[in-house]
Amino acid sequence: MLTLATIILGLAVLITLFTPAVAKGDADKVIVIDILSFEVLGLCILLAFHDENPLPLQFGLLVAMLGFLSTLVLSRFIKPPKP
Amino acid sequence: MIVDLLALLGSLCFLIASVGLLRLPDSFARIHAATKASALGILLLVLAAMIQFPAPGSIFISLMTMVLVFLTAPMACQAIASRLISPSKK
Repeated sequence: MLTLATIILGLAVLITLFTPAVAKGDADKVIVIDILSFEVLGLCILLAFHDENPLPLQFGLLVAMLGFLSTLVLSRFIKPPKP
Repeated sequence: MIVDLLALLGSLCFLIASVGLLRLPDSFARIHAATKASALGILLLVLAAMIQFPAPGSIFISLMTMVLVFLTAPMACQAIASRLISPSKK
């Protein structure tokens, strides 16, 4: 069942990586990076389950922090609409 | 057993989030799908981690991850959405 969870999460990562082909916009790319950081965090937790070792949970914490910071920085580059 | 079930439910939440990201029509709707569903998936996966690794250090790391995600996901969502709505003041 853990293998099935990993396959489903990998499928979610693939669908997320396919999204910029459909949604063409600056904000959509930033959203894709935001959700990809969450999915990599989920993959880190699943790696901890697979190895039976709690060390990858700390990688997940770091990935969550870096994902938030990168989202904040990249959202500065979104072009605002003309008033 | 319950750990596997929680991990499977969390992965399904991520799948729902990415399908919503692919199919929803607007940027605001995509922000909604990405933030809410993935935060729920992280909650389920972290609960599974807290059940699987009952040592105090692991529970602390898991709680820190959960608090960090639940604090920062709405802030990132708000940063993107406010940039989409109003022109910036430079």
